Amino acid sequence: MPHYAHVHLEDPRTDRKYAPGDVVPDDLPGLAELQEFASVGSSPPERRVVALADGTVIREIDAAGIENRTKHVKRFDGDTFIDAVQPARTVISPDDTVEVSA
Amino acid sequence: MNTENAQADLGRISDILSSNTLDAELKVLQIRELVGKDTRAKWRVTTTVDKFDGDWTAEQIDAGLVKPVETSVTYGNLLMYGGAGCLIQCLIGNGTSTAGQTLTFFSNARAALGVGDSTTAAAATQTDLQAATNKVRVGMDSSYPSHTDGTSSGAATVTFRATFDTSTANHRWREWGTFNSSTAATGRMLNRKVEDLDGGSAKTSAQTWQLTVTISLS
Repeated sequence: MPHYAHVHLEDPRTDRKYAPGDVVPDDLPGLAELQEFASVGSSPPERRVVALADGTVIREIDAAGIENRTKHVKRFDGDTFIDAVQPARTVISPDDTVEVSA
Repeated sequence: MNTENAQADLGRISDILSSNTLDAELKVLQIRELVGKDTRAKWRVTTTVDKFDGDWTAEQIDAGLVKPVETSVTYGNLLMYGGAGCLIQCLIGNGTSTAGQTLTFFSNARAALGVGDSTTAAAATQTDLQAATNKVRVGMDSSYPSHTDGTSSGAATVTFRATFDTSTANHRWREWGTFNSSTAATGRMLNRKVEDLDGGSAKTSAQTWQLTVTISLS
């Protein structure tokens, strides 16, 4: 059964770094301990995102529930205020939060 | 680059090329990093252990009263999420000089280097060295952390150094970390690295070991 990194990890034998979602070696030193503290899991980590109806991920939601890393860059002609911009797009509510595999 | 550094880098390149565990892509990336052709922003760390026979203070070592019987240089580490968080919080004005807090400044009075005997792989969520008992943190030598502010490349480097006397850390050195507190289980761990700093043999009460960690952002 593969083991997946749930946080950033480093294999001390090779100095190779693993990002969340990467498969780590079965003989990674301290694997049992890393599993105990949820740094490694037997399934890929889940990530919470905000997605549009077509499934396009537009924001990540971190462990604290904060939305960040906006994926889209929007450009507007002229001097446009944020209040005028936001209603023009699909309104994303907390109900739109979905979970997808990394 | 001085001769010693050049020899160390050549040795590292030789190790990378002869590794049976690194794939070709990783070998190229590591060599590029060493020769400075990797233009991505990097958190670079060099760790040096100087071993001295007998009991010596940092001041005596700095005065040249003793020469190391052995020096080892290694590279790399894993930046902890909590360490990055502390750096960013201090950057935006939320750090403190009060001891033992999560956001305590890594000052001469507060910073520490720790060593332990665990080989558990570094994970970015860890908050302390992973050894059960054989671990210890030691505060900074005088004038460390060493950093010179400016707008030239030297300003991107900070050096932490601690001296472990004959009565301290007499066990295997298989992991190290940088802390903002010399008190166990308090403060924040900035980074952690699992590697045999001791060359396979535990530190003994017959030796003083000096650990230097240099971090560059570039």
